[in-house]
Amino acid sequence: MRLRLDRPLPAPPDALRRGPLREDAFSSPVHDPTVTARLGRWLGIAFATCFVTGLISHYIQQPPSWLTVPSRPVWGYRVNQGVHVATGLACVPLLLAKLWSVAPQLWVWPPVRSVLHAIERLSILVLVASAVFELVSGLLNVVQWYPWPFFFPRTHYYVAWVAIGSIVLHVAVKAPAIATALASRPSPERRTFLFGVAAAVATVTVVTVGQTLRPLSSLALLAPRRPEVGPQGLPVNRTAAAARIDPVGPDYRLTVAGPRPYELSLAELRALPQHDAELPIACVEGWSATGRWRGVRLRDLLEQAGAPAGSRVRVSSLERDGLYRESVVDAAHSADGLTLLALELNGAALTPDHGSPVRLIAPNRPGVLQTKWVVRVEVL
Amino acid sequence: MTGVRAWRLALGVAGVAAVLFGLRGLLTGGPATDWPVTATWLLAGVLVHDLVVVPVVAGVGWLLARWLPEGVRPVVRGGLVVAATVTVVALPVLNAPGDPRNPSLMPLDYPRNLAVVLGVVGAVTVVLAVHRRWRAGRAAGPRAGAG
Repeated sequence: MRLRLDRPLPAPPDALRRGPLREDAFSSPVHDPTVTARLGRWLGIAFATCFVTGLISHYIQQPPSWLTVPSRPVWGYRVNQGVHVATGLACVPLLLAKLWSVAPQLWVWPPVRSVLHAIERLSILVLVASAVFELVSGLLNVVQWYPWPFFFPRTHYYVAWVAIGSIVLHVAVKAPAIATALASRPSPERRTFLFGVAAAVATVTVVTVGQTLRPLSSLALLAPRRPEVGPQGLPVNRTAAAARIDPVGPDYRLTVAGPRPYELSLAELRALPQHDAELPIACVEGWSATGRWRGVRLRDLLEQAGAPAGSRVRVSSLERDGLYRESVVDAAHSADGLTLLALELNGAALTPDHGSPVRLIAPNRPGVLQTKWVVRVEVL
Repeated sequence: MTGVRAWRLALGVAGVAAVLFGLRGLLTGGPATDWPVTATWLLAGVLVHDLVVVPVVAGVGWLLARWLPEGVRPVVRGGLVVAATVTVVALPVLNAPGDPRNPSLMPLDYPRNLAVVLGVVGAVTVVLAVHRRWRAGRAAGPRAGAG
């Protein structure tokens, strides 16, 4: 016997049909499939973009053994993360408008027509919950506000799988309805609404994207960062005070551990050949800013330690704890001539908040892995 | 089974697989994903949307339909969409505690900036609405005279 999931279930008594459950309790011209399908198309593209860029960022930060992250293009991570956050912000108007266009479904009568209908409503619940969660948690992360005990990157990552999965499922379920709705043209009033949503996306983007797109910096009225605001003209994510770093004394030594290990004082480090690199700090939180860095090439230090070119190394900080107190530099980055242990930024010695006396700076690398207050370089 | 049906089925299966992978990660993540807390946040988002956002939008829509002439309603609705979503996006920078040790985090006067943005959005909306009325009036004018 075949299980009939779409068999109608008994409807609840009509006496319960009150308040928002009344027929046509609230009608709006934008409650229409032609609007929903168009917003859904934009939202689908935006969420897919967020998912892919988020996945790239996840794997760059925690590379699995099969993946080698290239050190070029220099601006790779900057663009990836700028797009991730800008697209996420653009999703706010898109998601709110999309949900409003289907709001009557919330108080549809009867609430459950069949088992199949119940499953579909449950899948929509999962979709809405995960989509709202991703936008809210992302919005709070970019202002470094964590009013929850869980670890943001991992939770945001797994809920992203739930969100993208339920979106894909939703598209599969609704495919015929989407095709029908996209085939017919919205009325002029509905087109004005869609235009309004597009204007909202444009406005949200214009007032925030300057945190990574320097030419639009002066328009970034609501961005949590300005690329030119910070010590030495560059924003800071983790301050020396937050990391509990004390200024180093004359006994500071940089240890390079390899086949021929050695130590360098700050004066010896400054006496080595210095190189310049113009590289961005590109934060996972979506802001980025270019600095002019000056310091010693990592590959020169490794060569002196007798390590073969392209060795993987671990760079450790003076920080005693913290998730990012050390980072691994893989082959492509350690061989790249632009990867420096920098002593200067924009023409002056590093300030404590930028990682004095020495910090790592490498091309195409997330800001959290540009280890500050470096004390040890170890060949792996 | 037709090609389109097979394609939809494959998409649906892939979607369910992704959802299950995400849920498994949340449930087995321990304190890093703290699933009871995450579940509460997931549900709270839906409840805030359904019980606060939707009634507020419906109420504003009702007022719009009651008080505004039909011709300018779409333009005002669009203006409100822009103003409301910009405000939602600004909520974190307006309310986050920040870090007094880090002046590069949220360095701007956000209440003032939001007022500027909303002022511009309001002005553009009024100009567009007046323009619509004027155009509608001009279109109706000669016809009334000829009658």
